Amino acid sequence: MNHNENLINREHKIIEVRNLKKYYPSGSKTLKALDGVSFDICEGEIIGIVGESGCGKSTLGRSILRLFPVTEGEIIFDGTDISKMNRRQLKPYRKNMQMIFQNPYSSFNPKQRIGSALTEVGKVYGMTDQEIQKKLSQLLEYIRLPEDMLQRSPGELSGGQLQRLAIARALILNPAFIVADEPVSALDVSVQAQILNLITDLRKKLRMTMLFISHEMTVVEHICDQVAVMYLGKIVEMAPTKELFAHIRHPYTQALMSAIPKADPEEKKERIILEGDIPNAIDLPAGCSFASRCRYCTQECREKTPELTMTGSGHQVACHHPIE
Amino acid sequence: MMKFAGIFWHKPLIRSKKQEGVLFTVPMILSAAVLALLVLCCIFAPIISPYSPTEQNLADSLALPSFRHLLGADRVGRDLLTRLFYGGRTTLLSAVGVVALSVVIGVPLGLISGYYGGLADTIIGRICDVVLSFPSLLLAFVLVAGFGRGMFSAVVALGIVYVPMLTRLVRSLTLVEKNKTYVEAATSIGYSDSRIMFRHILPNCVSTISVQITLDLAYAILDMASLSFLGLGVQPPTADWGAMLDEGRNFLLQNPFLALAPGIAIIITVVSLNICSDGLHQYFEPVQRKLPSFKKVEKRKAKETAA
Amino acid sequence: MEPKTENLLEIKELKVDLMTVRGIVHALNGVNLTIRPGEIHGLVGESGSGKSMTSKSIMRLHNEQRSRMKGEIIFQGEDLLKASKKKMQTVRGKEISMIFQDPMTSLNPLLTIGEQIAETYRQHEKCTKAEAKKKTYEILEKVGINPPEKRYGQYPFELSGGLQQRVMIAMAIACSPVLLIADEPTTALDVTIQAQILELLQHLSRDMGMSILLITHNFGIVAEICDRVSVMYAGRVVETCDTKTIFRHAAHPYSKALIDSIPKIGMNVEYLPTIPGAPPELFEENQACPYLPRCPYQDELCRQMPPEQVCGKGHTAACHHLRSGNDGANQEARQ
Repeated sequence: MNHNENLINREHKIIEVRNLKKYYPSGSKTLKALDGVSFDICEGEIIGIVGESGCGKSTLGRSILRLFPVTEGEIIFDGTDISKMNRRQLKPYRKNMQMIFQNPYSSFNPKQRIGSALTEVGKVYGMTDQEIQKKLSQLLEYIRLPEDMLQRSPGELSGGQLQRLAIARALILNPAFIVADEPVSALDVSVQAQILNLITDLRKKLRMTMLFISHEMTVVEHICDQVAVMYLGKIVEMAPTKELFAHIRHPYTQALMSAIPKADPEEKKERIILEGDIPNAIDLPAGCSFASRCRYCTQECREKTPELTMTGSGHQVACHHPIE
Repeated sequence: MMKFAGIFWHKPLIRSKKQEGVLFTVPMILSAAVLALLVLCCIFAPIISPYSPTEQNLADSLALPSFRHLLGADRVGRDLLTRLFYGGRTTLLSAVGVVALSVVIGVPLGLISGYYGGLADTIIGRICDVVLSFPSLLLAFVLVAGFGRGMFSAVVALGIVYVPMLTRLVRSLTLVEKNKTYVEAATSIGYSDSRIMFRHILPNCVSTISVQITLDLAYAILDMASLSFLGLGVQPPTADWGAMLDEGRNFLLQNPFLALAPGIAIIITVVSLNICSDGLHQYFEPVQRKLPSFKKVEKRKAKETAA
Repeated sequence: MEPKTENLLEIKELKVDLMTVRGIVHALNGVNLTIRPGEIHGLVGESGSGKSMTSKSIMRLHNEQRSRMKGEIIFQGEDLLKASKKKMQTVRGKEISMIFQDPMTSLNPLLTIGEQIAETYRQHEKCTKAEAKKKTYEILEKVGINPPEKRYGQYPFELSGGLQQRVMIAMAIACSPVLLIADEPTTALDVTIQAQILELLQHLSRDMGMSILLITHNFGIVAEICDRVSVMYAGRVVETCDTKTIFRHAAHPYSKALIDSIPKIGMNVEYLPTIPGAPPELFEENQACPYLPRCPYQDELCRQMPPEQVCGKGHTAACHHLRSGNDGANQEARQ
């Protein structure tokens, strides 16, 4: 969306990911959850990551936050490489990077009152009670919830309310960067719209920088400035949102787009139904990982892995035969 | 800013949702009342009873129940009811001691083993295996042999025997909780491990642990009684239900109450504790609660309108 | 008035109360729904609106002691609410069958998928082992599980989510039911796999002349494969019409608002239209229109439960103000 170009500071890169790899041992083989992912996030920008389950999008978000060690590559947060830091070294960076989760019902401790859960965040990072109070009343105003919510326990609130509060919790420390992992997927349609509007609202007020992970193209198209499509641990296509949806170049993105059921029965379209299942990320054959399901597949695709290359107007695609 | 005052209490919520089922069901009230009565009798034994638990009065040796001695008297003429109350003090107190010791050691071990996994889990798991592989009383024998006889050694010995069961329980609960999103959220905020374990995971395990604790109390009473019965626990002349049972069995024909009374006291306490534990379980886990059928509700409503 | 025989299933004024830990819930509050032979009927609504409750009621899967059902569910001329337990057993699986959101928990992990499907045949059609096996191969092929000989001996965990859902479908259609209830069949699946399963369902419906009641929260899926659609809100069906009509001329303010709040590609708006407030809790019996507090058209009339009104051919909606701004509905209503 280009409504927000003025919010983005292209000069200042908050996150730079370079050739990030995360391998998991799986018996004698390795599962390549992330296999050489590189991209930048500028200050104030929302980057969308789309893909199907098992494509590594959640692993990517958690790797950047360093919730676990990564196998290889660099994660540069505001000029500092955090990819090899240990827990103690990471502590000051944790404050600046927060996360919002998919399931609002389970992302709060069920035995802790909401108010206590929110103030705890500030307390752990040494904020005074006055600072916390000030911040909380400001955030509650932003998320449009009354203050008596704080007295309730998570079990007494609805999914939409809890997700608002989860967003508030992530914002208490004024983080420089937020990872939102499918923040609206578990919500009903009408609540989903409310939360998406809230995110739009907050980014304007607070200039949030965000990595927005989702499996829904429509949601990503609505909220993100740039979109990366992932397939089996790799980014196969990445471009500014408008550009991507105007000129889809990777066959996988095309199939993904065509598979989304459109809420419009009269829109006639060519349906591309992909044969077969997503291959297992363990022991992938050489060549393009999408080759087995691609309708444009040639001998070259089976032998050589395509690299992510820039093709003009900021459009990157990893394909030997990109769609024109 | 006064309106914010309430939220600064770091108070874990150990109550479930609204429309709570009733904690005080009839069996629960009965058993709790019995337990309370028992505990009160034990605490106020010196006030209630005109006799001393240790003073001998050979004239009343093996007396049968009468107004003088409501339950009769033992071989050396000590009032049985008095000794029952004083014995309850020892037995209950030592059982509480056993459970407290096992909680203090077992819960943190379980949390650590479940939360960290890996080497810590392996080591703790192996130690538990070793302790569990001994028959519990046998292990107590060994420890009593080491510490010397007496209530203190018996409590420590049983306390250690009870640790692995609790550790295992807490470990498995922790494993379940650890994989929930709120723990991941806490990690992503940057909370320390001990905060996550004790502030976040533990409160979510408390309900199950408390059920286990009430059960453990019942077992501890039985085990303490067994140890005393075998002469390894409380030493005479201190009164204790197990020791009294041991003494009493020699005079079953002369005065059966000597053995029956402490035996019945043990049974009543254990059964009440079990009922309480069951009630707690249903209270904490609404799924376990029995819901009335519509027929019953309608009948009840019809009665109300008729009245 | 359409002739009665046209409907395969007719639910009239279905009310279901459930006993829960938090009290009695009036889960369904007068549901009217008709399913025609051979159609794919979408049942949409947000969570808690009573979609799954309706399907469970058709199969009578509620705990009898903890639930109270009123109304009629007429299936092929017989009221299922009055049918005997034995009759229900033959209806379940043989005439009406069901598939669920999560195939993994619906399949027995200890039996191979072939054995589980063959079991259905042996139970409902009293086949011999060999016959059942042969039929199982046929059905596996029909739902696109190839090669059947190899798949027959595989266990559920060896299959992907998409294939597991195919197995569930195979089991459900094994006895050629006339009605298949699919409760969020693709919610747990990825979009590309979802597209495959939807295509399969559509194909099966046409092929076998089977009606499908498709429960979903996704209007995209409705647009994709449903012939007609019913929108549920707070335990009631608020609107029923054919698929095209709901997207172009929704008559009920709730359906309209719900469809508007879905983000669409190329929409290019900054803020999405939303519905203020939240659905009501169903602990108390509601006399007013349940949508009243959230509705922009509310007035005094809305304090009474709105009746279901015909507002076009095969188009009904439960609202006192059949969207005054909506020319489509008004035109249809005037005719």
